[in-house]
Amino acid sequence: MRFKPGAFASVTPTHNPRIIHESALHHFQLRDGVLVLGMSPILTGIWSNVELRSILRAPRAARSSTILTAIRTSPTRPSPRTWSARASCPIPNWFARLDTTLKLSDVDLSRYDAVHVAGGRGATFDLFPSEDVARALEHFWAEEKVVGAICHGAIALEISPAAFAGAR
Amino acid sequence: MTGYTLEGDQELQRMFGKDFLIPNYPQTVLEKAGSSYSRVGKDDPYVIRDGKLVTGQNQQSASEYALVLLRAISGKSPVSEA
Repeated sequence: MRFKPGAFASVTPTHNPRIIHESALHHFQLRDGVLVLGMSPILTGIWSNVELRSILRAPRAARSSTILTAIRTSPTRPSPRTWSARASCPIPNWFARLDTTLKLSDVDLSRYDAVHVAGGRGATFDLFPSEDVARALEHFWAEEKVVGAICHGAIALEISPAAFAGAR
Repeated sequence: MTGYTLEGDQELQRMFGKDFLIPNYPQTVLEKAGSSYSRVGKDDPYVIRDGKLVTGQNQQSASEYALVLLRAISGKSPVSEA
């Protein structure tokens, strides 16, 4: 069957997101910080191409406001299954920042407006179960801050079932 | 809320073999915890916002997830200067 121009976009308009990112989020400024919760890279790494970098495309966040954390202090590595060429990375000092992730238990959670839990198979090793993750998410929920999780990162939400059980 | 599907995890394990360990499945864990888990097609984009909680089903949802999350944080649409 011949591909019909426009049909793909009309069925799944969200499949053209890169344009939205580049044109819209380029001008977007986060008011304050977003705590980005990755995970240790023991076997799997973070699913960095989209799930981590998507939120970091906001320029201010990419510079200073957003802090990458990990459960352990070892450097965070993107999954080799998802990584693209270094030259294509739009975020300044991305690889250097992956080398300097903070240990989650050392982070002052009160400094952040939101937490973003990235996905990747590593989440099923490192983010559940974890007392540090539980403490962090319960802080954001109790303070009525924004909590975001995507893909395998959603597994972290289980640690506070009393808080999240009723949520859609 | 949503997250990566059990169907997707099981397919990954079939694809990459038994050494492709996934010690906990997000969908199973969330359902056991009593959450209101929902999903769409395994590889389709799906984002849910419930107040301060934003969840995305998979990597295909990452772009829309980011837009919704940034709006939840700022109160403004990231696709409009207004």
